[in-house]
Amino acid sequence: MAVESLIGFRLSERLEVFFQIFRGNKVSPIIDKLDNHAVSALQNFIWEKTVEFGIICRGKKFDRKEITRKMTPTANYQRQQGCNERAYYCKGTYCIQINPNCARKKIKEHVDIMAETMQEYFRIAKQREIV
Amino acid sequence: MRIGEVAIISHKASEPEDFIKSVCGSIEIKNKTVSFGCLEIDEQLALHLYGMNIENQNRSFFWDIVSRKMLGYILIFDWDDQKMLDAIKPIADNFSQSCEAPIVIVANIKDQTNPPVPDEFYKPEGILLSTNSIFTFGQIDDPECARRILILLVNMLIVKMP
Repeated sequence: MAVESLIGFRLSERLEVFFQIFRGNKVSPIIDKLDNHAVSALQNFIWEKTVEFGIICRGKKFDRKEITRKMTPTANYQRQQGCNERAYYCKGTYCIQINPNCARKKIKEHVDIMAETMQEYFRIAKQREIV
Repeated sequence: MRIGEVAIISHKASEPEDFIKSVCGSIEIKNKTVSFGCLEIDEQLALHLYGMNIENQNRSFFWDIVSRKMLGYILIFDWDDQKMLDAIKPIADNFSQSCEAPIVIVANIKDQTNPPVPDEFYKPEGILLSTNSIFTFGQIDDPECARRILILLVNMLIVKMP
């Protein structure tokens, strides 16, 4: 199961992630408290949960592009940072080790977008309840 | 009779007591540290619920001894109070790292008909945090809701059985 691969990402931190998301807050500030392994784990965890909630909200209409289209494309991000590495390296698992500041910046954007997407799913479901 | 033991832990003394009352109907024994209730499933099986509040506990409380015997843990915090969440975090980490028993973490809300997020996101199974831990919202002074939380824990135990 995906959540079991979260080495170094403690239960209390996972709880904090949901506490912030359910309150409509950003989750990127949590990243500043985590080590590099935990940052990658947090990114995976939030991705898994966003997809899970997307499926709950949208059912078969769910498309992962609902999440990814709001993110800065990797090529654009690398250009903005003046990075010449291969696009494949621009991932939480690789760059977080060799260039943590750059990777953390990108991951912060991604986790906030995923949190916003989850919050959007809650709003959609709430609207449905009202109707 | 076989007996299973479950610990109900919160920063506030009233929360474990409310939970036990909701599930068992009454508190049978109560002292400064622990409140106790019994739920008889049938003639052969009962659940003993131990409510513990950590409000006045110092760090030396012997969680490692308590935890050896428990079937599982229900950690409760008040959704409206971040301090209550912060208070249970070290215990959640301690249990998740030191024992295999399932943990249900409950954000206690005043009105379950108006939860912070629509209930389809956390019902019926709760939100999986790890294979050993689940998060859910609940109104613990509501018997039906308290039983749903206990059933979540029992279901986790069943899933873990070989």
